[in-house]
Amino acid sequence: MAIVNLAIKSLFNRKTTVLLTILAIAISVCLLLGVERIRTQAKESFANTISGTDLILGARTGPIQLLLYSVFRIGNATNNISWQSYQDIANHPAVEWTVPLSLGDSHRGHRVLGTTADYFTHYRYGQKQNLTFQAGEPFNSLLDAVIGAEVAKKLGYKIGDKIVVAHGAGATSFLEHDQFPFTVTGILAPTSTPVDRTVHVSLEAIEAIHTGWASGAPPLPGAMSTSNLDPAKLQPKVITAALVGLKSKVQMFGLQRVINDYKEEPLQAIIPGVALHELWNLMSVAEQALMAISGFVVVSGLLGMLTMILASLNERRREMAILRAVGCRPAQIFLLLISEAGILALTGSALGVVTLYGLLLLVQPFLLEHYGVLISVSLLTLYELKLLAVVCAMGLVVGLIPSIRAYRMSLSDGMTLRV
Amino acid sequence: MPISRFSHPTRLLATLGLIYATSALAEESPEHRQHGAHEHGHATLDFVQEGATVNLVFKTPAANIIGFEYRPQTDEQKQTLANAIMQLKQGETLFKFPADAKCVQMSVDVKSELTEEEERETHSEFTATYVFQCAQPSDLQSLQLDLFKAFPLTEEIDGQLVTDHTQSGFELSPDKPSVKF
Repeated sequence: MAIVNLAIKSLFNRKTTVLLTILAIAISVCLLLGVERIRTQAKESFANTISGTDLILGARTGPIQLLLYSVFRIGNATNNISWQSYQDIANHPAVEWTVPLSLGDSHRGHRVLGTTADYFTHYRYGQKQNLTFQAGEPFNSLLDAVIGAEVAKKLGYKIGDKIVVAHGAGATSFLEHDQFPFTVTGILAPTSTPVDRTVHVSLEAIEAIHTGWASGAPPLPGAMSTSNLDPAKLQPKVITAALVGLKSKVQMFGLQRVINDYKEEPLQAIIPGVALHELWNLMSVAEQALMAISGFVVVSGLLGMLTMILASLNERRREMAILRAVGCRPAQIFLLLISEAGILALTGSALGVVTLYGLLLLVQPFLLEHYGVLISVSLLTLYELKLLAVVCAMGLVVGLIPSIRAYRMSLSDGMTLRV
Repeated sequence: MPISRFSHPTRLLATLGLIYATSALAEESPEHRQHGAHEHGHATLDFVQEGATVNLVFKTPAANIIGFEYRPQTDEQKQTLANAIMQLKQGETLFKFPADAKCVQMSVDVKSELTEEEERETHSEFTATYVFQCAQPSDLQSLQLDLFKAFPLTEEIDGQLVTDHTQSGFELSPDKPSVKF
């Protein structure tokens, strides 16, 4: 213990270089753990977004793309699907329920989703959890809107507030559906999924706000109002995608084949979990590359430490010689230097973890808002602890080099004056 | 001179009639052109488990199984096809479930263009559908494929997996012939 104390005091005496070395190790550890954290948490966050849905129906495109735009609101639909085809599939004997989804409009940067009230009963997330309302209820009349928890919090909306939906998906749009202001009738409880950032309205409302827009611009002020809308005309003609639940899972692949071979329109059905698996497969190369890079950064951090200790040995020839002269055994000199390396690696790792948590707290809201990925600031996992242990062990192994050198040279080197 | 082609009135009428006939045909049955993917060496396997029932659908180009995709010509080829169908029907030798799950094959159905009456000038495939019943579905934790040994021309199988608890995908090959759920 006395030797460790001595090592700490010796390190303290060389504050600047030691601090820089610790910083280099800390940054490399922070990067390594950060990559690991984001990798695993992003997967978990995606996997928790949809559950209990057997198939997603959409236009024929890639499975990953369909999953991303229909559930995660990332990217845009390649094509819409016609209401008639949707009805064909919905009436298939294997189908228990369907929820149509219509995307394309926005409210102050938040996507507006046209759907039916069934969405609130059939959409599930996490471990098959249902959506719950923190206030209000599902939409009943044409111009009712149900908003996600994040929308309510960020824009300060409460039940009864009027909101205007903008045309298109941009954050700032000059074309607004201001003939038809919606009334907030429900606010959903937080789910940590894209639902939190969505404004939900009925399919008919999406149809209604677009009547009179045939020219591509809003109809003249006063030309449209709820009173002169023909309810029969509000039947949607196209939707973006649909969630499908089956009576029995055994029929899943059969229905998938029927949809993928559907002659009247190029439709596609995907199984959300299978599409997610494909997405991770695609990403795994990038993941491995990132892990390899952060591994190398850790190695270079430790090499920096090696350089620092080796360089210091030269300056400390006298110190070593005096230690030997006052009765220090070579083994103790060895222990002194190896504990120096250990202390540096351990402090660097600890500082890395602290930096990581600081950064996570900083970027968490940004990631959630822009990418819909929730990175939870939780305790270190077993795997992360193992990574840290490996870094510290590597630090000790690297520390062996100067320690052995000092062990062998301390006496002869320091006593023969060659200043 | 192009106009001379229609110099004879009847020929002109006949031509017009033909044009009319083709356009009428086009209106009656709008043409749909779509084709499934077909890649030799590559096959797909769909696995679904609900309660005690397990369904497997194995879809593969005929080339992976018998080495050719035309209707058998010689007696030897006819024998190869018959043998392959026999082998495909023995699901328990192709798919190995954990012994504890106690799975028994209940039915099997093997379909192929090669056994149909009318000849089609296209690639041929086998679609084999198996139904298993498992006494202990909770022990159904993995699936091992022995069909790479039975049909060595099969190089890669892409799978979709749906069970009571999970949805996922898997990729199998002769080097990695089993999947854990």
